[in-house]
Amino acid sequence: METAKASRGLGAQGQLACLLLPPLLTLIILFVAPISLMAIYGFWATDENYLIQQSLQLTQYKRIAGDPLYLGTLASSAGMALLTTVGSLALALPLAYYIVRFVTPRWRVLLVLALIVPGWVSVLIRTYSWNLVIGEAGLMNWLLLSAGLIDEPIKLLFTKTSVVIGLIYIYLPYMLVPIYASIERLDNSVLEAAENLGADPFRRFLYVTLPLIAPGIVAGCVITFIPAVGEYVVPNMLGGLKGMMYGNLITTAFSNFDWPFGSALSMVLLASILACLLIVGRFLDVNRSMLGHE
Amino acid sequence: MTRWVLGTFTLFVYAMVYLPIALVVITSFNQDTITTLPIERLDTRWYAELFNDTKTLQSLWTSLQVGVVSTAFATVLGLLSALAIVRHNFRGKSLFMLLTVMPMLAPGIIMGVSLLLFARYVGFQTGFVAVLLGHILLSLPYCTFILISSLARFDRSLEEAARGLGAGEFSVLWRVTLPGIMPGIIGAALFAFTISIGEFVVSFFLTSAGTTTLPIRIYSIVKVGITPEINAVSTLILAATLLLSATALRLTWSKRN
Repeated sequence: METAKASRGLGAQGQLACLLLPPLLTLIILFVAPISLMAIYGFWATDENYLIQQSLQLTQYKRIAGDPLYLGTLASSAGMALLTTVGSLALALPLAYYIVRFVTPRWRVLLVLALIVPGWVSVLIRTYSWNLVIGEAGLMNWLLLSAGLIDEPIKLLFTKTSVVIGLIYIYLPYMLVPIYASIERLDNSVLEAAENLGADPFRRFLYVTLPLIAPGIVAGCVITFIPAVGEYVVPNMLGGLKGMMYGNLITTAFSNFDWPFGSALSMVLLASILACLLIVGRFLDVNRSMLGHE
Repeated sequence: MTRWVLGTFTLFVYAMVYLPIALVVITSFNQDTITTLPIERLDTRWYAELFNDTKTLQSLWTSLQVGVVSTAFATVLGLLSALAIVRHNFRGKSLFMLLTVMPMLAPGIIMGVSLLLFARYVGFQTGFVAVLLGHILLSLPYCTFILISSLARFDRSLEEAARGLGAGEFSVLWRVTLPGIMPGIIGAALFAFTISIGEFVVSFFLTSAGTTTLPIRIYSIVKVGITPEINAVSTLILAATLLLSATALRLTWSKRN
């Protein structure tokens, strides 16, 4: 970089320390330490009086493994997050493609922002708003009843479906941003070359566009899937008993003051997320070597 | 052909994104006590009732306090991080950046419960300060990345000029660099404030009886039973968020030539 003159004030090292220490300490105290503590808590046990025994044991993890409810809920949460990811991808990909291909640059930014900005409104409010759409007295049922298409209101709210709808609604912006960015970066000359060599639009998309925007798609899927698995607000507001997700289990454990168990549940979620990230990371590397990206 | 199909599809997605929000706004003006369609008469009575609801107003006040203080901290810390990342090379830089990104990716519930555990373990009372700290952690990554992009675009020759004229390091920072990236700073602050105002999960675990933020108040009302008042509160929050976001964008947006 530069050779900072240490004649006045702090040297480069001292400057860096002043800049780095406050945020680093904040992250360590508020993020690293609490999660490390939670990791330790997961190995503790509680006796019948809910007093914590601070000795390392696998009681909590055995409990999680022993009852199909816990891992089953984790699996169904992962399934719902996967549906959310696929749904968001199905919406975001054609949309981003349309914006980049058919909209003038001036309007592009506005259109993308028009989808992202609502995403900054409180998750709670955006989730609640779906009550007014798919609730028993909501817009959907009112329209269908008025049109005489149904005689009874459809009970869509408080099902897995309503939770996935809510999740897609919340996570669509997450999916859109990396995908839009990767489509916008596409080099048109490559597509033209494919066209000149006689590739039809479908094959152009499959063999040229798709491999080039794959990193963006993977990034979008990762940042949609990961938070969606642990989502708590959406299943709590739209899920009822049928649409429970793993986050509800963690909350229940903590509100029952069973902290070691809640910690173990949280660690299982974190471990699953890390495993996903590692798998995706490897897959990406394999992809790079296969596609021969420079 | 492709164009029309995709265009129609795009229009549909936009409609689905704005429909629920629009419904909240429209329903908030419904005079009826039951939040159902069709709407017979428009009225602002729910807004009037809102202003007589001391609990909700109290929670709004709490939210604003938490928002302002956590924004100040997150923005300053984000600025320090961004300066370290953009201006210095150091060992473990990528690790530090990874650590900065992590709170963005980790599920909110994990951060909420781990902060609760940690607070109790070190004998820290949950409540106002705990919620505040949680919000600082949540908005720090966003502030850092907004400020990294502002700093990366900042023309450093201005600093060289100031140094050449005999300005010390600190006065260069204070009089040249910071004014130069002011739009980014304000933008980062508005983002942090927006996050804090809407945040629910982490606050949910860290509140005490005395400190209820607005989203938690809304949650408790919804759980008891949906009243039209909720639509009024939500509409006000919506309007405030959109206004803040639009301002933040205007400030952080630079025309890339």
